[in-house]
Amino acid sequence: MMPVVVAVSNGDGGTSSSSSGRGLGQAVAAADRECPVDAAGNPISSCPRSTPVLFVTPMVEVPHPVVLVKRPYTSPLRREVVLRTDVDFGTGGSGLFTVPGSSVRFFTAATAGVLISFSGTDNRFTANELARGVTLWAEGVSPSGHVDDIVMTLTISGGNRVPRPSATATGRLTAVRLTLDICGSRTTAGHDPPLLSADKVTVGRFLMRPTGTSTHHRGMLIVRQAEPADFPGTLLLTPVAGSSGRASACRAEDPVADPTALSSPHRMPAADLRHGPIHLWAEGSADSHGRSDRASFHLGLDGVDPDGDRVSVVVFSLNRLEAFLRATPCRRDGSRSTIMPKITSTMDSLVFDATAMVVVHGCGRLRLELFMSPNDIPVSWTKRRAADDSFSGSLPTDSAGADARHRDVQCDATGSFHLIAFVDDVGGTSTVRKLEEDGLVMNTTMVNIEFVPGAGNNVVLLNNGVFNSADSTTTQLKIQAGTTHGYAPAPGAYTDAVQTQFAFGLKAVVKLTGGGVYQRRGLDRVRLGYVQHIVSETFVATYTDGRTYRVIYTNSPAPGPGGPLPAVIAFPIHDESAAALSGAAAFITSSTDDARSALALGQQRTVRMIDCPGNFIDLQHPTTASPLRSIAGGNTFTAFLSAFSNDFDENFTVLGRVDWGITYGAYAPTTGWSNAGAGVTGPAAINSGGAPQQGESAGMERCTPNSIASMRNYFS
Amino acid sequence: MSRVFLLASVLLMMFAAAATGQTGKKRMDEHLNLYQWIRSGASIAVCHITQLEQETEGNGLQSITIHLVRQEVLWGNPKAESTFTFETAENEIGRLKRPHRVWGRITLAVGGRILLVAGEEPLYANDIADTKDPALASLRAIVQAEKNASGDTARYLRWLKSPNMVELLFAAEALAREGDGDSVWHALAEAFRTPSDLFVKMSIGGLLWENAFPRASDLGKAGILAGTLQEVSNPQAALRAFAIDRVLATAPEVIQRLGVRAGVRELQAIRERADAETSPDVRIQMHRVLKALAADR
Repeated sequence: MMPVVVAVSNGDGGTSSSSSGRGLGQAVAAADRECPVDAAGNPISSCPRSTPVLFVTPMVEVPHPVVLVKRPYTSPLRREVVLRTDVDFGTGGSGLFTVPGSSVRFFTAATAGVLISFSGTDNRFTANELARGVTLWAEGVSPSGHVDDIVMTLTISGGNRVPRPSATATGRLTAVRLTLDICGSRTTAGHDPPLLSADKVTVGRFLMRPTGTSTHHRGMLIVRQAEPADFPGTLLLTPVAGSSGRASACRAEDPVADPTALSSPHRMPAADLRHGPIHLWAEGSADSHGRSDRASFHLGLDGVDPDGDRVSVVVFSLNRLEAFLRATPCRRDGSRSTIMPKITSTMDSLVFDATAMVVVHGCGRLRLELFMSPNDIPVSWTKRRAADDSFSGSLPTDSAGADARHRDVQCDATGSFHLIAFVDDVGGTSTVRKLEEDGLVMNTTMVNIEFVPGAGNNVVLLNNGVFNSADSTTTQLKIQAGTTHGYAPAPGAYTDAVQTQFAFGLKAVVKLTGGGVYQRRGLDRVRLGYVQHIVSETFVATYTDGRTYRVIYTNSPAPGPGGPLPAVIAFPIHDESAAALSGAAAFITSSTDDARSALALGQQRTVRMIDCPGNFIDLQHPTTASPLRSIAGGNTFTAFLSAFSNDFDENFTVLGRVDWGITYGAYAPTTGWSNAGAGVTGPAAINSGGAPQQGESAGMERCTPNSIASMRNYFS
Repeated sequence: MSRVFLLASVLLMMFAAAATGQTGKKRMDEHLNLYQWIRSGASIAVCHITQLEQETEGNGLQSITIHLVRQEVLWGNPKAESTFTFETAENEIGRLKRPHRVWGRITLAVGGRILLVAGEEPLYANDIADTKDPALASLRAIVQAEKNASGDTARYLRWLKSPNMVELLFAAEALAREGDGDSVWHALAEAFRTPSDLFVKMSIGGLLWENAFPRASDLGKAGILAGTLQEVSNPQAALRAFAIDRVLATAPEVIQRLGVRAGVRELQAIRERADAETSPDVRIQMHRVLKALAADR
């Protein structure tokens, strides 16, 4: 604390200090009541000793000779200045208070009050007022040029006393301006960040609180040299909490290298600032309650006032960024569309590691959601292609989501992308993320799949020559649509040669394009195969007594011969045997995409399936023993060339479809089975029109009930 | 959920036929992927079924657990005992129409003897109904020969002419993937040209183009291309399409360098295919190939 001083004019323009100016005046007045004395206390020679002369001494008392320059948003205390005379010097006496310049202004009260305009009226005080003491309140307006350069003068006149030692008294003040700034995010690596682009107090810097799982940045605080430059005091930096937001000052920028916060308040001798500003770093330590809950830093003067300047910060935390992709709903009842777990990112990293996400081009809409605190902080979204991508194409289309924390991103691009949710350094919204604006990144690779051109790369194999009944027994006609006794190829890749053994086959040679230099990033998480439906079942065997046999699809047990037809499952029915509903379990058993070869850019796969539907008919009706008379009809199927990512393994993207059918030949009791009329029908190539397409748009059924689990023999 | 334990010590309970729908002795399949199994380090063993468990899943499917004990190691290092579980239809018609891809070929009966091929996962299983099954005998002979001397080109060339499909397919793949030298390429091209089973021809053709052609000398390439040209008018549609597609996929510059030319009939077959191509870029490329094949005409 500065000592309390009272300045009393000694008449020559100098200033003397005393702990009690009034005492000095009284002493002089008491000793020389009959005659005035000079400044040295000697009687004035011309003084007629017979005439009593009364004296008055003006005084300007300045208990606190330093006043902070007030800013519109600071509230430093006004400092009192007392104008006084030692006695009432009579009616008609007055004192005029003057202060050159405009560095300080004066009010009649510590708060509010009336501004002294120095009109000649409001700065003139009566002798009586001065005798009682007039207190004015000084408020800094602009900084002093140097210490004590603001001279306040009280000049008394009139009245019935003689001023002693002078009609004027002066006091001195120093108006000190403190400046604290806060910076925004860096815009150029290696350079200091720029000052905040918005108001540093009413908007403030938005800072992410460290959460342990994500990186965060500190905001640069700049403590500038106090004005006047020769001011000798000590500056204080004090963090001030908002209603719940809280921040700390740190010495270092890197929170990893130096995680500790400075003690509060942090003291900085003004002398340390004479060669340049001090850079400190602001770090959020408790989330703000809302976007308008600002914590702040106050820069003040030790012993004077803590509120010389301020900056604000809004503290937030980012919990996680989630990506949701709708599963292909079950065609039968629309279920399971929300079944897939979300992919979560808690990292602000552009590295494509195991946490990166892979989707198939055409899979639909990714719904991104940012979880944060407080949740009313404006969220900015941006996207950019991975730096190492050699594929040059458009970025995925994105659009506003349900609210600011949501963003919809279409899987309509190819390559690796960073989908980024971030908080603008001044809480605005932007599509351009500055270097140190904190956020979370969902690193995403969108894999494009396309047919390799050429008819030889898109083949529907229809082999009518493989139908046989070689497996038949004396009691059962076994019609096989292949030469393998109904067995699909062993797991793994198989060849054109293998496909010649089956009545029906599909072969698609496709190119997969992912991310990275070689456009192969993410391809290992993509699987291709065929989802097949049974669309109709018209095959019927007729016995000589008119009874029939056919296959029905039901969840009920097989009815006994002649029994009532149970409730049947409506077509189309997923043609598969596995109970699992995700990933490759949805593919028909014979699907394989194991034949893979790396291309210079991307990867080529051959995606195959075969089918060899058979029919197995008792040669005699089980209850009537009537012999088999004839067979007719067949099946129709739809096969969808489909792809999924292991990251969303119930979302199927359709790349092509084939509608095909089969009939099983003829039977006569006398000649037995013949392949007359046995055959498969279908197009020459997989129809890829409109692809890629979401499974639901293509009409795919990928859910249970499965054909194999639900098929039953039904004898009328 | 019902659970039935079938123990070897109790009886040889047959839900065998119920499981597979197959009855009677069957010969083993000769279309074995033996080369891939051996070179990939899979184990091949004769095993017998010691225990079976069936669990109804309640959704029309049943879970079958099969316990096996190794009887004879043919290749690799199979476990002495192993257990596998798979899912199949509860109802017989489902099992008949869609036999399990690995286990569908075996009769599910305790005490039954099977050939099991397994890598990290089971790859292939087949009943051994007859210890003298020709396919099993061929398999035994091949694995024994491979144990004695793997990579024996002379043996592979000899097997390439074998009437035994297991030996022939093994040799063709070994030569196409591992062989070298014009004699090898010539032998493979000759095997492709030789009238044979469609599966065999297609298999050799695929191996020629996928594996041999990229590694072959120009002389070898010319032999493979010439051999394939002979098949572009084959009456079997699959083989014809295979041959045409391979020829058309060859770079015209390569064809010109190799000096291979096509006859009128071959050119006609290829031209029909090229004209039917819907991709303009591919069609242009195909006509460049045709031009190269007809360079002197």
